[in-house]
Amino acid sequence: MPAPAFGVQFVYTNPDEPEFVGVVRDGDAVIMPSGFHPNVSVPGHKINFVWMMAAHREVEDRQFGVVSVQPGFDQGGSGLEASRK
Amino acid sequence: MSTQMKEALDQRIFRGTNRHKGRHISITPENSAMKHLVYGRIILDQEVPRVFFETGQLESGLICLSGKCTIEAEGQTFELDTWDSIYLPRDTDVEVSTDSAVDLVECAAKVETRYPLQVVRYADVERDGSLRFQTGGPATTRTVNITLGKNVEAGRILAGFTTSEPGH
Repeated sequence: MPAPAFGVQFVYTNPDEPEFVGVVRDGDAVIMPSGFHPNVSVPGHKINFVWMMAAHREVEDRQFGVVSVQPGFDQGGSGLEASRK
Repeated sequence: MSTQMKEALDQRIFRGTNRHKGRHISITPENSAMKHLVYGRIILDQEVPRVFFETGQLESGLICLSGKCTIEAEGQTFELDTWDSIYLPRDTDVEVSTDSAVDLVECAAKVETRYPLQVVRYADVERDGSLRFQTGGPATTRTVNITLGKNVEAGRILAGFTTSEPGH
């Protein structure tokens, strides 16, 4: 997402009281200890990002795709079911 | 806890983590609300073509975001191209070098066990429908790439990247 493009990142459990809402640019890193975390780019640009996680319990909790989908946006599942196959 | 310390732990965004040449760790459990995760970048070019580090108590995963590099570890040499990844066990001496330029993202976490060094070729990720897949609807399509996932034996870290077309 090189300049001038930028995105907007949200992190919240309650959307009315978000922990973070802000402009993100190439090279920025946002931490999300918990919560829903949608993002969007400015019109006409991609939003590509690296993500990473560290399990609380070694090996036992190291699972991808175990997520909670925000109520109201969960009609299509998590969208990550393919990773569990 | 001091007010300054609390503000640091409440910090949710770390700006410009790709501004430093060499190896630069931006996020740790000590400076953030992360319990285990360590994040950094290794950016090399003709001016800074080589870095050496020890993983210590951390397992470490590197994803090559651009360029290419050579990684020496455990007496072996590995060539990493764009989107390739490598898993480096704890207690490993690592040298990363490039003849051109490279931008690597580093993901690490403290572990008790030493898991084996593993190289992940992006070509293998592309071929596996559970590691690379599209998600979302017609207007919200994203492609998820899991480069350090169930394809890698590890203790804590999971990593990859997600891409989208404009408007998604």
